[in-house]
This record gives sequence, structure tokens and C-alpha cells, in this order.
Amino acid sequence: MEFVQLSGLRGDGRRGNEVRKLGCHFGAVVDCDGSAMLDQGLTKVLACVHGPREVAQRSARPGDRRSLAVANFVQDTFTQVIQTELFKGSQIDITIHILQADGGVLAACVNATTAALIHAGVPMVDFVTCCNVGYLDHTALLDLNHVEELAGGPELSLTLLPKSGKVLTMRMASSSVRVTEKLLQQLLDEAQAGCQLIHKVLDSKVRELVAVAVKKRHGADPDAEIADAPAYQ
Amino acid sequence: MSGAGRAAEDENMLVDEEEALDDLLQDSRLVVVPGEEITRGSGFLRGHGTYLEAIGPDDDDDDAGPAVEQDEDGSRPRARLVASVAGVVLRVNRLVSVEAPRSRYSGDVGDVVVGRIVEVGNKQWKVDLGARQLGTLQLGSINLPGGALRRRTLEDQLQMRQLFVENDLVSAEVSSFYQHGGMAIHTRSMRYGKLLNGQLVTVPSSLMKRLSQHFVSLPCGVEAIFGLNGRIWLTSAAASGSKKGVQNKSSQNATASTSADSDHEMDAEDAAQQDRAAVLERSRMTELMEQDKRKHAERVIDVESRQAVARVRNAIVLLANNDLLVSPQATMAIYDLSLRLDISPMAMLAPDVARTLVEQAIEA
Repeated sequence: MEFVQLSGLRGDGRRGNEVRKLGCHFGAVVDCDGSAMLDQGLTKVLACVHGPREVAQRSARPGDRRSLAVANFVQDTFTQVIQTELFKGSQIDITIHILQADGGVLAACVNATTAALIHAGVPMVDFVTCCNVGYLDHTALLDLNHVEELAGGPELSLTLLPKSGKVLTMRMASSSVRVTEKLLQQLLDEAQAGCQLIHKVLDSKVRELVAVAVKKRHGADPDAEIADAPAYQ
Repeated sequence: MSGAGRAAEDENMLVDEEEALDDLLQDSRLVVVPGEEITRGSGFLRGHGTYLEAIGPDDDDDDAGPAVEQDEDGSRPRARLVASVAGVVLRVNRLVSVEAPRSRYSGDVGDVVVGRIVEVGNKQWKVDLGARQLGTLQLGSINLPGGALRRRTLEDQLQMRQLFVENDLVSAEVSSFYQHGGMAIHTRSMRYGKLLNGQLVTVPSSLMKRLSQHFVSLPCGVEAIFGLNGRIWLTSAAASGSKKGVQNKSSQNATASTSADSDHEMDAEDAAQQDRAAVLERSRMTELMEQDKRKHAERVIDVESRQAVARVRNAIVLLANNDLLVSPQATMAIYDLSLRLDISPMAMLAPDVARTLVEQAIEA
């Protein structure tokens, strides 16, 4: 099967270095502290945050291996960025529902969790964004969809703090291809570039969210102009 | 450079930094997101929603040594203030903080709150206040029935369930904080205590404003407690008629006792008698108020009063659904408008009706 056509376009019309369309809707769930519905192409994920709240019994973890792997990855990632030292004696619960899976589920889960945590007002050191990258037809492909994931080439998912460029966690699988050091470096670079692209979109969505809330709170005050682009640096 | 010279220069730098930030915040609400730098000055204090990050050696315009270390003149550490939540930058003198539009309730001492008992424990109740931890209501921080002022005995401990049990609603005041951020609350005033025969509305705590008075008698005959933790208690006002009588009496009593205090000629026996009388009077008043509360709890509220409560409740829900601040004025604005447009309480939350109500209320 051909994944990259002669024109350089992939099956869904993207180029290798392009991510899918990212949509993010805050507050989809009412009965929680923060929630975000995130769609990356046809992958759709709903993340809810409860807390910080009183430490209770540990909630039941999913039983199957794949869900558990995603849960552990998300937990490992976010315990590093949430300022947990501010919440001694409290716990934060993150619930993720995968509504549609069309590749890049892990990445979508991390991105949705970031959005939900920001919506809940949980202090974090930085955004966290995640992107996966594969290597098919001698080309690095960003943000694989389901068909491309099934091809069995190397796939690398990586979470990044976009402001400082720090890599937090990553996961890699390759069933058919041996990954050389040079290729790995290329994949790492590509994935980080993808994370930055996703950060750009999430950043603008979050600013929009805050701007709307501020405008509503302060009514039709003409002085209440929103400065959305930082005017300094 | 002399020490005094350096101090003066430092002062200048601070002033410069403040001016720079002032320019930034002037007549615009600066929106920041997590990880975004707010300012680079070292003259600012880290408030909520921000953290200090050392400027590393590889940073662009920084030629000083490695992280956290001091400047080459050894005077101040180099650091930047970074936002940790998405929100608006606020500055009070040197304190810079970021206010997120949504977050859990983080109380202050003196806040009026409404909470739900979740656990009866050893000499204390645990109360859900919607904060990051359960609040604690000590047995010693409540009013005993009859207003008796005494040490709490083992007997009291055994009878805690007769005062509050799980799922009871209480109004209270935040009295202090424990080390890890847990709140201690008290109900040592006749205003506070168990809430009965009314309705609870829950809204995000970020929509609550601090008011001069959190116990409000709305003009529509509804009594409301606007808890700062986003819980609002509504009940019909009709039963509180006799309360006013009690309050008047108490004020009279107060003036009487002050005039007695000014009388220096009074002998000791007289004073003792006065004290006893005051104690008796106080316990009688407490008795009266408790009676009032009991009466109110048992009262069957008529349909009209219930509809008024429902209308207020839906007005508050409308405000909260639209991310608008919840205050008695805003609530009454929606309430009055819905009456004027002849909308039944039940119909207020239908999407199209809700939209027109909110739009017209904002215009007015």
C-alpha cells in the first residue's frame, strides 16, 4: 500500500509535516471542575478533571492493557507539570473518554487533559502537548491516522513543554522496521515540531476562552479591552 | 560603587520595572496562559497563579552565571515571574497574581459559606465546602442548643449526631486554616447553623462576589444566604416575622446595659444581679430564636412562596449558565424581568427564553 503519493500528499490530503485539524471545546461536561472535548481529525476525546479535592479511595482503573497504558502515560506526564506541592492532602482525578479512535489516541488524550486542566484552573508549569510521528515510504509523517498506524512502521509519541522545549515523556513502537540513531533523531525533531504546531492551536483556544469569560464578567465596559497578544518581550 | 549608590540604583531599577508592568497592564486586561512570562523583574512578589523561574545561563539577554545564582554584583537573584494558570494579570503594589476564570473555592478567614456534612468524626464534623479539602467543624466551634457557654463534655461528644448528621446543610463562617490548606469553620452565632426547609443552588465559586451582607432578604419575600463558596441557600421569608421582634428587643437590652455600665455608683451586688439578668435574657432570646428556626422548619410553605423561591433559583442558574457574576442585584434583575415578561419559573430555563432574559437583563 502506498502511504505517500508521488505528489507528496498522504491518504487524507496532508503533507508529511502537517497535523490534522484540531478542535477544542471547553466545558462540555457541567458536573466537574474542568472539561475539554478535543478532536484531532476524526479522533475524538473527552477529558474531565475533578479536583483538587479531598483524598478519597483510589478510583477504579480500566482493566484492559491498552487503556491502562494510556492512563499510566497520562499520569506520568502530568505529575511532572502540575504544581502538586500546592495541593498537599488533595487529589486530582482525570477521566478520559475516547469517543472516536482514528489514530493518535494517546496524543489526543494528553492534549485534551492539558485543555481540561487549564479549564479547571489547575496550576501547571506550562502547557503539555503531545504528537506522534511515523516513518512510512521513506518519509517522516506527523500525526498518523488509523490507517497509517496499522502499517506497522515505527511510531513515536512524545510530550513536550512547548515554552522551554523540554521533552517530558515518550513512547515508541516499531514492529517491522529497525530504527537507526539517525532516523530516531529525525523522528524526535519532527515530533517536537508537531507538538509546537498543536501548542499554537491550543494556546489560541485557551486565550479565547479566558477573553470571553473576562468580557462577560466585566460587562460592556469599553475600557475592558482584551490584550490577547503580549505587547512586550 | 558605594553601597548607597548601589541601593539607589536598585531602587531605580525597581521603579523602572514597576513602570514597565504598569504600562503593560494599563487599561487592558492582560490575558496570560500557563508557561507565559509576565515580567522579568526581581522586585515583584509571587502571587496566586504564578511561579518564579530562575533564568538559565543559556537565556538570550542574560549574561550572568547559572540558574538561581546571584547577579555578578551579588545583589539580587535573576528570575522571571511565569503564569501557571490561564487568566488575567492582577497587580497590587508589588504582588502580581493571575486570576483564573474558574477554579476551586479557596477561602479567606471570615467568608460566609454553606456546606454539607459528610462525616461525623471524633469531636468534629467534616464538611464539604467545594474546596480542595473537606472543611472541619469542631465540636467547640458550634453553638450548643439553648446557647449554653461551657466546656464540651464527653456527653456532648456522644450526642453529636443530634446536632448534625451526614447530608445536613449548614451555614458557617471560615475561622482559620490548617497547615495544608484545610479550612476550619465555626457556627458560633445565631445566624449560622443547620439549614432547613429551603433550596440549595450551586454555582461556580468564581462567580460569587464578596458582599457587604451575605444574608439577604430579597424584596420578593425570599431569604437568601450567598455563600462565598458558590452555594446559595434559598428559603421563604414568611416565618421570620417574629425574628424582627427579637432583634428589636436585643437592641433595647443593649442600650439598657450600656447605660447601666456608665453608672459608677453601682455596688457589687447590683452588678452581679445585672449579670445574672443578662445571662437569663440571652438564654431566653436564644430559646426564642431556636423556636423560630424549629417553627420555620416545620412550616408547610404555600405554593406562591415556593414559586418565588423557584423563580429566584432559576434566575441564579441562568446567571451561572451564562458565566455572569451572581449577586442579589443581578438575581433580582432577572427575577423582575421574568415577572414583567410573564414567564413562569418553569419556563425560564428553556434555551430561547433564557437567551432573551439574559440579553435584556444585560442591556438594562
